[in-house]
Amino acid sequence: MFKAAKPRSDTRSAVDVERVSGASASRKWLDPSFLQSQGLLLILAGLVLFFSFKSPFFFAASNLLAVAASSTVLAIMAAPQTFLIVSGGFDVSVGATIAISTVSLGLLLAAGVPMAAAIVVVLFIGLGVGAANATLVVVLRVNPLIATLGTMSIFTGLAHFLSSGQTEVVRNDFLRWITKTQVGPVSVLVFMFIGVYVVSIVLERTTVLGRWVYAIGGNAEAARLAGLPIRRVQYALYIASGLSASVGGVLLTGILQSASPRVGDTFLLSVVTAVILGGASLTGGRGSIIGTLLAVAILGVLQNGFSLLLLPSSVQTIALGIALIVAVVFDGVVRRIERRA
Amino acid sequence: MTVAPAPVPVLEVQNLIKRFGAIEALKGVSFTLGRGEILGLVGDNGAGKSTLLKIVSGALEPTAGSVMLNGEHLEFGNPAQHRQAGIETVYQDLGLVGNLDIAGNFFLGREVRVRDHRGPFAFLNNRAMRLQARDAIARLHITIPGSVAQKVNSLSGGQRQAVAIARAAFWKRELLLLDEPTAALGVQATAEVGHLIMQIAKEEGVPIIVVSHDIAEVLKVADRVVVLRQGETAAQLVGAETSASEVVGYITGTIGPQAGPAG
Repeated sequence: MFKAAKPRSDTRSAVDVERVSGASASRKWLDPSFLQSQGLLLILAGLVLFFSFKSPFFFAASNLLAVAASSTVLAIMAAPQTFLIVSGGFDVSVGATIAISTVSLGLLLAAGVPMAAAIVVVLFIGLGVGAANATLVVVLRVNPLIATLGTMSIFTGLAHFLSSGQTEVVRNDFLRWITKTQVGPVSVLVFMFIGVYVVSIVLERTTVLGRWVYAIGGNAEAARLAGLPIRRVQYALYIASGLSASVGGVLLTGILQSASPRVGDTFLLSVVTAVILGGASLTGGRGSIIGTLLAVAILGVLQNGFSLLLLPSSVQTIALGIALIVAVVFDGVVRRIERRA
Repeated sequence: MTVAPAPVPVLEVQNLIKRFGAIEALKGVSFTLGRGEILGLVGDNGAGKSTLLKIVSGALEPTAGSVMLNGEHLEFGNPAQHRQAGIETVYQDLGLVGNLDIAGNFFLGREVRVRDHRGPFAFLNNRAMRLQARDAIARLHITIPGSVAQKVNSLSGGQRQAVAIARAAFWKRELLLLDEPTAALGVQATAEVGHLIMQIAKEEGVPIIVVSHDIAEVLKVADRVVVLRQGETAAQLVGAETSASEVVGYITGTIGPQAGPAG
């Protein structure tokens, strides 16, 4: 399922001003985003090969489907984060939003609130965190990293405060149903994963909004002069990020059948790592859903492979850190190449 | 033979005054512009050129005075309205988005949508945009190697300028404003941009205002030259009858009303 689309295949259109010269055709091979997605595919193939040799259980359909299912929450948050980072924004508060969402859901259900109402409240919490982030960044012009670090701290603290730091067991048929249902061998989570990425790729590549996101991240001043509704787009992206995190919180509550304020901790870095590893630039304007998809697959395969090899989770944390640094260094190199071009 | 009534000028700028706090950037500037005319707007740094251009483009609101397009008053403070009225502007930093392709820049904010759907989720009609952008570029005899689907990042400075001008020329109906169109360009590219400006004005009849530091280039293309000095019109000269040294004289104030006693 992690098949790479050909990047920039749209440049092969028949409407060239002149015949595409040999020079610009060969330039495609030096194009950083093309190289990056090819590189990601190579890394993914290498990891799959490596783990297939090291563990007899790795390269089995059931295991690979399990990798996809366990990557779903990360994947669902990484897609809106990709759009956000491409537009020049940033959101590190998603882990905290998961925490406040799952804790709130646990408390609401324990207090006897009906399931539907509890989920609506939780989604509004995610929407609210996103709107708060957007207001800080767009209206009050706070640096996105600082603004979302602030809200991250607030909502992590609030989640711990509300739950007294305790993990609450959540037994709920609906939550089990939306996370544990299997269609044949395929988890319902895998369908959500696929759905989110199909919609995201269509949004990115074919819609007016997708183009505006790239334009705003590429040159905000030019986008403003062209009359784009920059603030509305930015608000929508921060809210989408917050909403995706509260959806992630609901799913995690069902998957783990519990609500813990610490459950969001691992997502603090992994979401941003996936997006940056996937080729998005911290300065905006560059990145792709396909790249993020490949990066999510790499992180999922790493985690699964390490588990199969019985490596402790601390090794996974180390690998995540290395992946993030490699991705950021690569981003810096690409930017220097672009500036020279 | 009938005597035609004096035509309404395309652009009529009347007594524009713009104050920024205590600073008076424009102290009552007036001029008119007819069909197909190229007006060079020159002056020293701080003379008010950019302020004047921004008022005409709609980006700034004047403290007093009016701008009329084909005899009708323009509202201020909203560049989109001036664009709708048919005024296109090429800004000094070009206003292009480097990570979008040429066609994407051409139609940025005015995308061709599949079945003309409104709203941000409408599908882009990339084919139509590429065809139109290609035609618009070809019509101006601009040669850009490669396709209109290549990113603007991959173009040279001269090619980017050509794209920015071609975009403005594609959308303009009444008036084209160019802010320092050759500031970042080499000799060859500067000559090509000058040629492009002449072509748009003379073949399509659309008047152009060119703000520039480069007096020699302005004199090559401009029918008339308005010299601003300290927010006032120091001189209105006919391009063919003036010289670079005369223009420089007005810019620096060694010629004209403020000129000190000869000595």
